[in-house]
Amino acid sequence: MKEKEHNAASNRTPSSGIDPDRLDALVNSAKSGDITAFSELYGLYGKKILNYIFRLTGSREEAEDLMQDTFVLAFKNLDSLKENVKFQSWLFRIAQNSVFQKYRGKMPQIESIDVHDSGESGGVIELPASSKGPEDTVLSAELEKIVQKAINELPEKYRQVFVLSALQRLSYQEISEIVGRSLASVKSDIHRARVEVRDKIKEYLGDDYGMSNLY
Amino acid sequence: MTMECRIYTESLTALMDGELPPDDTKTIRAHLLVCRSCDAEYRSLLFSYNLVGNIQLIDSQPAAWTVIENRIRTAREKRGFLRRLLFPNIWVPVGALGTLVLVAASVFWFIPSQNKSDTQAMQQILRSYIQERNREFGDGAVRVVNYNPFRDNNRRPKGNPFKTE
Ligand SMILES: [Zn+2]
Repeated sequence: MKEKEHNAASNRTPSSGIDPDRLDALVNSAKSGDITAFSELYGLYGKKILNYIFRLTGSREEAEDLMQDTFVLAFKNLDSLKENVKFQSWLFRIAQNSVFQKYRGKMPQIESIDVHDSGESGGVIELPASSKGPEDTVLSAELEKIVQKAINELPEKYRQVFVLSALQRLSYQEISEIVGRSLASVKSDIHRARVEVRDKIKEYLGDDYGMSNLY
Repeated sequence: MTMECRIYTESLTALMDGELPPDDTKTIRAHLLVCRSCDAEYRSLLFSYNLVGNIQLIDSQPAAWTVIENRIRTAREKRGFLRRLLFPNIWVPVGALGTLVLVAASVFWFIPSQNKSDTQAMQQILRSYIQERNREFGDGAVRVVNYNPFRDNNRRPKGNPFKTE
């Protein structure tokens, strides 16, 4: 358990773990119009932004479009970024605003994925006998659906902070900057979101919850 | 669950995220060692956290960057075109305006306004003098006068200096 805890906490590195000086240099070059430098920034943050939008909207196609919009907008408005080291949270904020704008101030209502449709019996999902070792960290498709459904069912403000903390593994400080709420409120919302998601997953998994061979 | 447990439970997520100050981390860890219910809650939250953390990430389309780059270049060219259209060379109008301002400023600066008004006053006095003379003599003959008002320092003669007594 200790090892997993350690992994969880150590993933929480600000700005993709990129050297701040390198980030500063890249952003400065991009600010002066260097598209190659900006393509490097895209390489560092493109996937994160895509997945953030994907988890907020639930649509892969929408996520692709909005991710592209985010980077085009970011390049155009780079001069408004005062502190280059805050590029990541600034980018997440643009992504979030693009999603809000698209859905007119409301987070999209994600169509619920009925996990029971694909299961054989009602109630608790029957998970395939685990053939994966703990080193194989990719969730089974079934479990993936369960987790996504749990995220989808979160209220708007919890979904945002949940995705940023549990999936993107950003620091609370960065999350607070992105969502524009106080650190204390972010901390409390993250906890409530985690409890809700845990309860949902527990509900689906039943007795299997807590078994380490599930993933 | 005690009051203490309730307070600690609220911080379990921050604990696993490494977001608690060292003193709080120490206190809660010590509590987890002696409190079975808080420890069970912590393990339960940690299990779903690890589960969610392993959710598969999606990859962007291979052409995504090309699309972004094209959009940036197109927007830049459009902006450049508009700028060239409106201001072919920004320094030409700026230079012309600057020169105009300089010329106008020097014209106003070098014509002394005091002299201008003095000239007008002298012209007025001269006109009155000619009118007066014509009325009195009517022959246009030149009369010698004792007093020249234009030589006076303050240039404002008192009374009519051209009238002979
Ligand atoms: Zn306790």
